Amino acid sequence: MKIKPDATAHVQPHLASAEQQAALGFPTELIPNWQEEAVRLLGEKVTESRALKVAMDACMKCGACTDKCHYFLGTQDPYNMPVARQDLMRSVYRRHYTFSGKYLPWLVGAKDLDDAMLDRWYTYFHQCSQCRRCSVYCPVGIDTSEVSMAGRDILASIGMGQKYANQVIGKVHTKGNNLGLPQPALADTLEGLEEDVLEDTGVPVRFPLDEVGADVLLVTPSADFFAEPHVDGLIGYAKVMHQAGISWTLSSHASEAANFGLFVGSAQQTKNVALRIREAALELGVRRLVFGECGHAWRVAQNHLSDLVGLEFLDAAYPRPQHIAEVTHELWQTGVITFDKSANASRVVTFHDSCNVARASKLGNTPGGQFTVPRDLLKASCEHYVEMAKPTTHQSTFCCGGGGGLLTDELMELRIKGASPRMNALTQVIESHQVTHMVAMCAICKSQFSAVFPEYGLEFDSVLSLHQVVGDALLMTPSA
Amino acid sequence: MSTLLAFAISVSIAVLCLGTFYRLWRLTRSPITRHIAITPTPTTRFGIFIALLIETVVFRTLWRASFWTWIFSWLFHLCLLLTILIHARFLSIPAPKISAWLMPYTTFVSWGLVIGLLGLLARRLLVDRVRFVSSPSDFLHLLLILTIAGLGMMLSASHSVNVYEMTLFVQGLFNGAWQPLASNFVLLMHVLGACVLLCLYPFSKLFHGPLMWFNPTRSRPEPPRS
Repeated sequence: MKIKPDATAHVQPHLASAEQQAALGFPTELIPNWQEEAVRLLGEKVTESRALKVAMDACMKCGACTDKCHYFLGTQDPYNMPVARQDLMRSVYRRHYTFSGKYLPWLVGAKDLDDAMLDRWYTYFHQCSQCRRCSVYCPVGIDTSEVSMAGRDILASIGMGQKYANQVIGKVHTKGNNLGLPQPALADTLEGLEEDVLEDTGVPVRFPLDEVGADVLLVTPSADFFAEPHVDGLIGYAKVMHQAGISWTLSSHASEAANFGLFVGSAQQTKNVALRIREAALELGVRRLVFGECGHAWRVAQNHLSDLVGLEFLDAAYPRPQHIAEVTHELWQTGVITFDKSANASRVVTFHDSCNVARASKLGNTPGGQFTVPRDLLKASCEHYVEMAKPTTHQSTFCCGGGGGLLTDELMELRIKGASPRMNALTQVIESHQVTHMVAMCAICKSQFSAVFPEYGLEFDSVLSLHQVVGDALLMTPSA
Repeated sequence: MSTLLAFAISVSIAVLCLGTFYRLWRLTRSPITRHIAITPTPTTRFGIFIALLIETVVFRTLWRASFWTWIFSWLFHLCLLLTILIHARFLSIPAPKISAWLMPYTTFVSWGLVIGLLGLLARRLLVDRVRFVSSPSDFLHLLLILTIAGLGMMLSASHSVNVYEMTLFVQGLFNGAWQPLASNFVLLMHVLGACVLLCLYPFSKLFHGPLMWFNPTRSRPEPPRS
């Protein structure tokens, strides 16, 4: 793959407005001493994070990562090579914090943080979906997402926040979810879903909201309340809960699993967003936490939630947050629920591993459960399951192209190009095995594919929620 | 010349040891703020140790990522290790067993080293993606090691170094009783080059091996899930 310099130099997300910056406690415009402050923050961040320290020091420029990023493969812009993206930060770090960079900058590629570099930081730290595919192929395991997260936090701290992410974090705090759905709208939607499911199945499946005393708090991405294919996944969760006889509820205060604090690289924002979940759980008196289909929410839930907000209130039998897929998987394995594959007879499905589930978390208790749990469920509920090419699945899965806070319209050119490695793999199985649907278990993946499928000649609704497929095949006991 | 060499070797070995110790000490002080393992990772510390050991010995990740980079860099690192072991012959008379056993293959090993380095250099020059991210220092590291290797091969081919005298010289460095050495310009350049390399090691990207062992994406087991 050859490089095309500046191929996507023009693709930038909108800057956050003064209000959006102020809402999160960031400066409302580029501060006068931004250069000095950015360099100071960079030094502080590297001192405070071993991952970042290793990223600044360990890269031997071997080039192993250069053809692994979906954005590079889709755009050929050299700054989308993970090593070059890291170099934007590394060169400034070297200039200010290493002997050779201070006195022999030309020798070691050290550079000043000037206007042009600042522009590159904003552009290319926002052309990284933080999916960490490059880290899988880095001989020393450098994590580019740590670099782009730190870069974004520095940018926001000197007055250059990103509109989409800041807006979303603002809405989470004022409305309880990323989409800004107020409680009455939520209640109305859930009531409508109860009627729809009753009509379709004849079974009175409930969608409880804010029910004090429920056992399980289900925290799910707000897209699940809003649009297809997400909402069909929510129906699937509700059917599983109903059939298993689990007492559960949603919360209007924590009606959002997503945590954009992670994307903007701010530990404080991540914590603030996560706190709502603790508050809702305590308010409703639940003893279990279950997360819906959202990739990075699961990463935060599994790896950070306990440290961030404390989960001492959880039942001793379920001391950690659980993922809806592992709950369903266990119910299926223990025979509590069963599937009728014929319900999905007309579908030939394949599975897209979502980056944050595949590379940052696990499911179930067996190593690699993040790969086997969803596949087991699909194979149990579908007659026709097809795997995409190996270098594009499991740990090596390609990002959907819209993750990490880039799921915004002004980045559409990047999103379409970044989806191309996944689309190539999908097109192959469509041609070879007549695949009709690709299943995903992440709200961002699903939204992104719905948006970019038409660009590749596919129907927007060819992407399905895992729990839609599972729910369709679930055998429901008719109520007495 | 012997004084200069003795001085350079002593200083560079001190820089290497103290520098490495300092870097490792700083790394242990550098906090791991969040769990960021690239999953799936082993679930025990022993499992992590084995995984990192395999990575260190056979460069498994690089094998998966880029075959040509893997073949050249693995060849280079392996031959570098063998070269160091062969140089242990200057520690004692008779030579240590491992050196004595490897000595007949010296020419092969040297060529392996050089071919590995030339391969990496070629990749850096010819693949536009890698050229784009290369700084002068990236080329100079390769050229420095190539120069040292080339001079070493000249010495080895010309038999211009008296092994007995050289061994006494090296032993003298350790006993503090410095021994004289016959003047030899190629030897001087070879050893001074190696001294520069030793000094660079702890303070440059050449330190990537130890850094890998400290990287939180690789060095931490997954938290238990039951």
